Amino acid sequence: MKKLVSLFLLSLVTFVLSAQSSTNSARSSFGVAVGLSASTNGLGGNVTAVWNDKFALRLGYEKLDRSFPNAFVYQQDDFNFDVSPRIKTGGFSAIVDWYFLKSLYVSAGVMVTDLHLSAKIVSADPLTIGDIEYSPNEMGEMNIAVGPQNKVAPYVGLGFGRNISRDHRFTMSFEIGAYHTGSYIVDVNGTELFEANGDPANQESINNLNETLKGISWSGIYPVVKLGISYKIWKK
Amino acid sequence: MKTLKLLLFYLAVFFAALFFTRCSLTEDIAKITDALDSLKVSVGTPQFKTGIHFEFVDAKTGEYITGKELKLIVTGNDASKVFDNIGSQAESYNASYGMLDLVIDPDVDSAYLATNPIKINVTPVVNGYLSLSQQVEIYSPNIKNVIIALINLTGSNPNGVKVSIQNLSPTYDSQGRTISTIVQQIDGANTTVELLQGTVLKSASGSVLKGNISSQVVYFNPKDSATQNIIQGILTGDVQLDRNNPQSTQGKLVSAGMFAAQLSVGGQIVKTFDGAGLKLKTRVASDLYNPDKDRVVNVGDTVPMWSQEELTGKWVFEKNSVIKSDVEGLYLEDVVNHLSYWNWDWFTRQIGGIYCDYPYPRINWNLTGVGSANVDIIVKLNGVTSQYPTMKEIIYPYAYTEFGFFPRNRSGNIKFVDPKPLPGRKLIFTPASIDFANLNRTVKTVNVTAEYDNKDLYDVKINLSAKSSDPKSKIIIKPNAYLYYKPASVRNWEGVSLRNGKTTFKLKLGQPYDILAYFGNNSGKGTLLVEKYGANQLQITLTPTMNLNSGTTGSAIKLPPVSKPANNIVNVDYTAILSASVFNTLK
Repeated sequence: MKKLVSLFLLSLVTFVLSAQSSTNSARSSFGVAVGLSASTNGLGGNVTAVWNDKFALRLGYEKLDRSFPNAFVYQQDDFNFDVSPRIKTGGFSAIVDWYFLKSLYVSAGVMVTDLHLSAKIVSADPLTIGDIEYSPNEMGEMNIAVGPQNKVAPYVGLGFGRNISRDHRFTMSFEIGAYHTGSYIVDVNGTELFEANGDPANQESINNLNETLKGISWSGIYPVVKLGISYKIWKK
Repeated sequence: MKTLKLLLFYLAVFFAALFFTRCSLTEDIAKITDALDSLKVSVGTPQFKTGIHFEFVDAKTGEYITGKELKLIVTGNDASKVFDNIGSQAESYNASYGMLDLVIDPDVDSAYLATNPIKINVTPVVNGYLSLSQQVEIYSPNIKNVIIALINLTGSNPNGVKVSIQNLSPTYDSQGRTISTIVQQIDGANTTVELLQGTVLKSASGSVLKGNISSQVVYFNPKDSATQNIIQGILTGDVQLDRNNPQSTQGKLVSAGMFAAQLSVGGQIVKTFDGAGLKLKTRVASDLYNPDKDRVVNVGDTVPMWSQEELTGKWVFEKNSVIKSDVEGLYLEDVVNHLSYWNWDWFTRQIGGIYCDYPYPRINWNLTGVGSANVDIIVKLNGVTSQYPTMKEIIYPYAYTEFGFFPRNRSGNIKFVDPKPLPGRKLIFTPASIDFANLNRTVKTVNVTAEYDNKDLYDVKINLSAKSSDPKSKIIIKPNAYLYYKPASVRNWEGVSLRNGKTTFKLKLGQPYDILAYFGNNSGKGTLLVEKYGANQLQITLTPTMNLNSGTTGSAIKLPPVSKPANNIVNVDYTAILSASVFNTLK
């Protein structure tokens, strides 16, 4: 974790120093563009403001919320569980792009992430206890969720193309990057027969998993691959 | 170009630093795999929100009936909705340690109960005690507490209960008719049962029975407060006002005298009489309150006579008897032609609130700081002595007590008493008493607060689990049940709710406590002791004496000594490791 933070700080310093050294040679050309994006953070939009041809400030929002009902069956002891994963990610971002070449840029910023990967787990079969049969619905459900340790996460990326065109109205970009939330945190809760899974006193194994995740340097890194288009709506 | 070179320089520094960091991906994945392998799925046993907690006590001593096989037969239209506390159904359920927990079908919720109250008839059967049936009705999704005081057929009973067991030797003619009248005295000459001359005894199948009669008659005198306490439960529930019309009416019976008679010939139970029949006779106290007239009884007052339907416990109107008098005073007598429990009662029914509103006046118990408590409810009706009972109740949070026996136009007082304070605990009732002229036809709340002497009292927070001895199993069972505990030297059990394996006991330092739990027909018992260990530590000893068939039978488990906590809170985690076969029965 410390190594990653160090690397992030190093890259940030690199970014700032480089940015400073290149500001002098930048051509002043203020403009504003609106864009659409599709990424591993979902679909979204952004507004990009540029005050010279080297630097741009990009404010965006993306969202992905997709469920996969009964995607697979998980077997444990005598129980069969239907597992329904759900991916929810996205969030607000504030990113500065530095165009060190005409169509190549590095990005750094922060993301307020909505990352929440979860799985609803319900019994696939009714359960008979004594002479009473409980339907899966009556048995309740268990939810396992993976979320970020920190909702506000630093972001770095490398992009091709531009998020705001220098000479035209339309432009496209392709960006790869990652944001780091500190660590992934696993949370479990349940209802009815599975209610005890949400009880902190019964979560020794979950706590153990979370401690393990916190000790792993790359835990909490969320990769971003993004494709974007933008239209410059104002230039001066 | 200058910019690109600068960038490439910094990127070179970045990636150099990255490459020289040790790659730990394989180890990291192994750590995660290990952590994932240790994940357990907690599965709770069902939580039943509606149920009945029975306590079976000796009517005289109030002691739990233990050491004998005691089964409770459940009949009636709603018997199919009753289960033991692990969801198994049977015609009868075994009590142990004088207690039994039954639950109601979890599909029965408050909406259902609002229009379809659960009505069952329960009959405790235990050797040496009278098997008296009574109806139990459930109107709301709570745990209902029912204390059944059993009449000892061979030992002592409350003063108002008279037991007579005799062998009668009548002579019969060729038609099976008794040649002479045989009188069985129950309470001297005050209460008698006469098998009249010219009576033919018949079994349930209609066979004529001839021979020596084994006669067992129990009489309940309504003037005795302790006896009233017993028969209040028996007289609660549905009644049938017309013998030929099975429609039930909700109400209460106020007794003027009750007989429980059982005759058998050669082991065959006598059910009906042809010919003359059986005459029941009892003295009536001159100051017995007649709720129909709202005064004490007089010669010429009519008292309805009722018999109890065997399967449902419903009381069925038979006839009206008239109070007569002789030189000895007032008396009731009448002839019956079938055997049952017979009762002279005034009926108070629900008719626009004229006699007894529905629902009955009731007290909701609001408990703070205590899981349950035993309470004596002393009812004193103004102007009438001894006719109304001292009720013994076990109260829980959300439990309530209904009072269906208040006569109209009368006032009185209900007082709440902690009958036997536990070590280190005192119960405070607010209000301490209620005038029931104000309570009639309303709901009141009584707050019960437990005051603890914290000097040597500890909150022992238990977290119980059960897991299989099979190491591959990843299921942890978290039990939901009621647990009962008491100081070993104290009679009354206290109930606490075990929710997903967790509960809190309030234990006095150095005082051994019994702990009891029910799992269907099995029970688990143990002892728990918190004691000093050295100068500044505590030692907790848990001695499970499980009775789960082939399950664990534990020897004393001494948990590692803990520092004496400043806040008097001690946490105890205990996981029972059960054989796979026993564990699978719990899943």
